[in-house]
Order: sequence, then C-alpha cells, then structure tokens
Amino acid sequence: MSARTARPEVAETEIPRPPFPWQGWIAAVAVVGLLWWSSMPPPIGTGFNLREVVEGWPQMQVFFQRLFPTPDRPWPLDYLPQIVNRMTETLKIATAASIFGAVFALPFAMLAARNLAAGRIVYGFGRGLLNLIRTIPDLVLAALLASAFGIGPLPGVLALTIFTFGVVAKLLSDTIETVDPGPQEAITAAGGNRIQQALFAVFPQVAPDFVAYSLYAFEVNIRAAAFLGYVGAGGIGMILNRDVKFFNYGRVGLIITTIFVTVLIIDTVSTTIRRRLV
Amino acid sequence: MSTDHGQGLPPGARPAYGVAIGYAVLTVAALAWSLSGIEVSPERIMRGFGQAGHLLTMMFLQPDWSYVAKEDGLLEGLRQSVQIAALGTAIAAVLAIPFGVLAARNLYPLPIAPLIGKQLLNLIRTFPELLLAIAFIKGIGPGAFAGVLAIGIHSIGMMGKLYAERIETTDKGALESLRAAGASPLEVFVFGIVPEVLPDFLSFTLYRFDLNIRSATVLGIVGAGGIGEKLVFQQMSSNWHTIGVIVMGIIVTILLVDFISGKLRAKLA
Amino acid sequence: MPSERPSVEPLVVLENVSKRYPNGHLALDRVSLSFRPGEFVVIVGLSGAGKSTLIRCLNRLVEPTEGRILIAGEDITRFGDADLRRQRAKIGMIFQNYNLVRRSSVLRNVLAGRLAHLPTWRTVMGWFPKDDIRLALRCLQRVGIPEKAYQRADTLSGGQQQRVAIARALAQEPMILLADEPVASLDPPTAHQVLRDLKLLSREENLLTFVNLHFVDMAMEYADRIIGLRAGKVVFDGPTTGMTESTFEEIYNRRIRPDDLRGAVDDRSPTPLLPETIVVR
Repeated sequence: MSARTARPEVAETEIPRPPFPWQGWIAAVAVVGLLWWSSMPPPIGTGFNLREVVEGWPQMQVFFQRLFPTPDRPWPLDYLPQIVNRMTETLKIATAASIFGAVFALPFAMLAARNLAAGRIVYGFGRGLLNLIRTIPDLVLAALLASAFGIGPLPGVLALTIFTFGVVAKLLSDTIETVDPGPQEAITAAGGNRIQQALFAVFPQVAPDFVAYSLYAFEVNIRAAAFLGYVGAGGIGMILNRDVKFFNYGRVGLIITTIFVTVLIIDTVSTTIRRRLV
Repeated sequence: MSTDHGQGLPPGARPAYGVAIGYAVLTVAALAWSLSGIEVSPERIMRGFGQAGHLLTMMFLQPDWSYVAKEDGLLEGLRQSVQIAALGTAIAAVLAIPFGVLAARNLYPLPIAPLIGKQLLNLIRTFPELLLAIAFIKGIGPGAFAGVLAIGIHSIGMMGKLYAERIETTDKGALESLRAAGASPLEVFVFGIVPEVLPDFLSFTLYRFDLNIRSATVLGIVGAGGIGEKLVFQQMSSNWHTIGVIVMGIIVTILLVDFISGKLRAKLA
Repeated sequence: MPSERPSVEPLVVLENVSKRYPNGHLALDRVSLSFRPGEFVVIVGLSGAGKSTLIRCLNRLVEPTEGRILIAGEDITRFGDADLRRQRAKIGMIFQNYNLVRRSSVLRNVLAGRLAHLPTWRTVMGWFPKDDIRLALRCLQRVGIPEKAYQRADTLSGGQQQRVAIARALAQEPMILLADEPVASLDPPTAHQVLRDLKLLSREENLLTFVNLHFVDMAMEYADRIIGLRAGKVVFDGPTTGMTESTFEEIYNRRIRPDDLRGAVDDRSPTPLLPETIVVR
C-alpha cells in the first residue's frame, strides 16, 4: 500500500454503491416542509420572519431596560412590602399545594405500581389517569379553575395540587416498581395483605424518595405559583399582571427580581436537602 | 436501605417511627401556616365544587363540536400552537449548537471557554418562557410570532446544556485513535464527535418539541398565539361548551405528539 | 531473524527516554532501544510495567519527560503540532478496544486513515478522492471483510472490528504499526488470527511492528524480538530463542503460572488475511 504496492490493483477496485438513505431524506423533507409551512404569513402560518425581529428588537430592548433601576428612575421601594406580602401568599399556595398533592399521591402511587396494584385493570386505570392529568398544562387548569372558584389563591392551590399529584404519583410509582421485592415476599409469606405490604415493606424503602419528590414538586410549584397569578390564581402573579397592563415597568422589574431571588434561595436549599436524602 | 436507625431491625421490616413522626409534625405545621390567611370558608369551597361540577358538565358532557372545524376555531388554534412549537424548537435546536460546543469541557485545553459557555446557558435558562413571551409581545406585538421567539430563546438554554453534556461523554477512545492517525482537531471533531452525537441531538430536539407543545398552548393565554388565545377568548365570554372542546383538543394534541415523539426517539437510540 | 538482515539504518531509536507522571509514578526509566524496519517486536511485562507508556511515546500520545525519540533520524520530541500530525500519519495504531467511531460506517472508519494525507477542507466536507476510497476498500479486502463496507461499525463482532481497525491503520500507508494489547478483548482463536494477520502484514509491507501482549506464550509464538519491561526498565531484549524461565522471572518477578499462557489454538481457521498476490477474494 504505497510505492510498495502495485497501484494498478488499487485503480481497478470498484467502488460499490452505498445504500440510499431513504429514511433520512424523507425525514429531512418532512421537517423542512413543516418549518416552511409554519413560517408562512398568517392565516397559513405564524408569519415568522427575521426582518420583523430585527425591527422589533429596539422596542424589546426598551422593555428590558425599563425593568432595571436607573439613578433618575429608581425602583419604587415603597412598593416592596406589598410585593413581599404577595410573595408570601405565593409561597403559601405552593406549600399547601405540594403537601396536599403529595399526600394524595402517596396512596395512589401504590395503586399505579405494577407490583402493588390489585390487578391489571386497576394498574391500567391508574396509569391512564396519571398520564391524563400530566397532559393538561397547569396554566390552563388554573385559568379554568379561576372561573369556577373565583379569582384568588384557592384555584391556584387546587390547580397545583392536581399538578403535584400527577408529578409525584408518577415518579413515586416508577420508584416503587424498582423496589427490592424481598420484604414484600416476606410479608406475603407471613400472610399479610396488600395494604400491609404497602405499609411495612414498600413504604419504608421509598420514603426518602417520596420526600425528595415532594421537595422537587415544591421547587417547581414555587415558579408555577408565581406565574399562575397571571391568570388570576392568586399570589404575586396577579400584581405582575396588573403592573404589566399599566406599563409600570419599574414595579415589574422589582417583582421579577423578587421572584428570581426567592426561587434561587429555595432551589438551593431544597436541592441540598434532596441530595442528602437520596 | 436508609431507614434502619440503629434499632437493630432488618431494614424495611418496620417503619422508623421516630423519623416518621418528626416529618408528620413538620408537615402539619407547614400546612397550617400555608392555609392561614387564605380566606376560605367551607361554603365557598362547596359552592366552588358545585360550580366546577356544573362547568365540567358543560365542558365534557355538552361540548360544542361545531367549534372544531369552525373558521378561527379549534383546529385553527391547534395548528398555530403546533407551528409555534415546531418553529421555536427548530430555532433553538440550531442556535443551541454553538452554545453547546462552546460549553463542552472536552473540546478545549483550557477550561475558560466552557466556563463562559455554561454560564451563558444558565443565564438564558433563568428567563421563564412567560416572561420572554411578555417581552416579545411588547416588542413585536401579540401573536404567534412572539410565541415562537419566546419558546425558541428559552429552549436554547436547556438544549445547549444537553448538547454540551452529550459532547462531553463521547467515547474518548475513538477520539484518541483519530488523533493517533494524525487528524487535526477539527477533523477529530467532524469524524469522531459529530457522528456520535448527532442522533442524540435529534432525540433531544424531539423531546424538547414534546415539552414545547405544552408551552405553546400555555403562552397563548398571555397573548402569544395558538390555542391558548382562543381559550382565553372563550373564557371571557364564558362559552363553557366551547372551552370543553378546546381542552379536549389540547389533550389529544399533546398525547399525539407524545406518542409520535416517543416512537421517533426510540428509532434514533 | 534480525541477525540475518543486511545492516540497515535503525528506523526508531529511543535514547534515555523516561516518563514520570504528574503523580510521581515513574513509568519509563531511561529506556534506550533501537529498531530496524520490518521487525516484529513484542513487548511483555506486568500491568503498570510501562508497556503502554512505551508504545504511546512513539507517536507522542504520551509525552516523554526526558530523552529523545528518533524516527527516521528526526527527533520527534521536538515536533510542533503540524509536524507531529505528519509523523503520526506514518504510524498506524490499533487498540485493545478497537476505538472505532461506533455510529459511522466501516468504510468511513477506514477512510479516517487517510485524513492526514488529504487537505482538511476536503475531509471535513466528506469529499474523499476516488483513489483514496479505492485504497480504503482495498484495505478492507485485505483484511477479509469488504462486504461490510457500509455497515455501522458497532454491528460487527469484536474480531471484525479489530480488523477494521487494522484496515484503517493500513490505509495510512504507514512505516510503523503500533498495537496496544490488540487481542486482550478477543477469544483465543480470534486472537491468534489477528496476531497471524499482523505478522503477515509486517512481513509483506516491511512494517516495523510493536505489539503489547499480556500472554507470554503468544509472545513467544509470534515475536521475532521480545522486549521485557519491569518497573519501567528494559530487563530483556532479544530473540524469542533467548527467553528462558529465568528471564521470565526477571520480567515478571515470579515463576511462570498457567494464567500467563493463552493456550494453543485447537481450531485453526484459515486466516482471512490475503497475501498480496491474490487480488480479489
């Protein structure tokens, strides 16, 4: 292979045809078609085009700039107590929802786990219901509940309870299915029924995970609760909505910063606790 | 198993009562605090549930099917949401590549570039989609376009992080053998890293699309186009029969996208 | 046998080469060796004795901390990036874990051997000249698996993947071949096949070949020359006929044991490697 090799042999070698990548091309055409269709002007598509982005950019910059304080337009710090008040309300919403959701999720997760469910029908129903619940975006749920229960923290708590229920139950039932079957067998052998199995064999094994998942749901709920208020479900989102509507950007900036800081603190604390649990 | 607190019992045989009681007390206290100040009376809850039941009946037992095919109806709204999610995801999938490459530790001798890259990604990820949507609505006006940008920019954060992590876990042996054959760093990247990570990048994109469908429906509520806008509109007029159709439409769409996305990702693995 | 060759300039010379790792471990201790073209050298020794370090110094995948390494008269320890890549193009290397790009096709893996011979803009765009593609296919034919050209590399068996790796090394048109424990992941019959192939290639292409082996009997069966390393020092350097039980003890610091021997091969399937005289399988 080099000057040492007889080159004519190389030149005579036939290059076989590579297989035509049908699937790749079909997929590529489909994707490009989808994107092309999506960017067409309304009413066919979304009307996406770069020119408008460039044109609108300065206005967005103005929006972001107005959020931050400047020497001659400082943040309205006298507004802070109201913000803290509302933020606390948001925290309460998140806490209540997390606790309720987790408490309801616990027994349900036992139902929806293959190794504890009272039969395939129950298991299928449990899983199906969970999937359904997890499909509904929480904001949509909150908007609808606000119509039913009136504006305020109550629909927020309900919406997030359902959401927490969905998340924790799914995570927990997945964990339950991976549990060591030994203790369960021991209890069955000793004549225990499913409930006793759940209490004495399964629960102790998954208890730390349960707490960890609940904390995770809490982390998510804080963010969600902060913005659920935007659709009327109580908490800081409500004054955010109002201030955005009335162009009080100074206040908006202050609110958003408060939310960020709170979320950051809670995230850090919660993640640390979760790491030490699992 | 972590619940054997030195009581000499085989793990998992009995619940650890001390810890359990501690948790219970903590939880009850938190619950009490959280419910304080929320003015809630039993009648209000009862009335609310009654109202909710009434609404649910109107929504799901008497849905207004004519809304499905109506001009500016369900299909129209869902179409918009799908398009918003598709465009947003595509934009993010492409724009996240340079970020991901910048943030991958194994591509650089010095850790300064990946550090900057990772911090940039974190910065992007701190902006929630809702906020971005509001910002873009103020900038270029309400509608689907704003939704596309909001989803697109926000998704860059998560996808960039996934990209970087995937690049970092490429099989080092293959890269070493390419270097041993005399390949330049660019060639090592093109021949060793790209073929390995590309199918996974596509998988991430599909996953993100799945999540973005949900976001696209939600962002409409604040005015960024799609079925969410229709939902708010109907809600203002309290057309619960129509709202029921909308909610069902959303659920079906999300389940469909879940299914397709899952199947495609299985093929890519 | 080396003693029969007419006097030839050494191709690879190590002068007092040492490697001390940052944690203080001295992997190579003032090693001085010289090798002629076409030799088939097997390096043996305990794990950690420096076999892998020695081989990787030859293409500077590991940087020696002291000493010089001369290849065709040039001191490669002084090479900059571009020169180093040029030099590496002439040295083929195969690894214990094959180190193929798993998701790429076999042909693309073999073509990687041509990377250093072609301008970057061509390779990055994937525009390999037809002659290079033919060369790659020819290498695949030579190792006996031309029909696998378009299959994904990870769909092949271990032995086949190693042969793809050999084909890739051959595609470089190298003067030197490095093999770092090439058969450790293969079952005995396949392992023997691979070693036979390597030896045949070394003869036909006049390739100076270095092979790290764990198993003493395999070393004795295939090597022309054996280098025994212990704690970074060369404790044996000579033809296989010079190996006795006492030299073994020197290298391994203990008496020979059954698990140092791979064992003879019962079923010797014919080698898939084609001698150069046969054009097509």
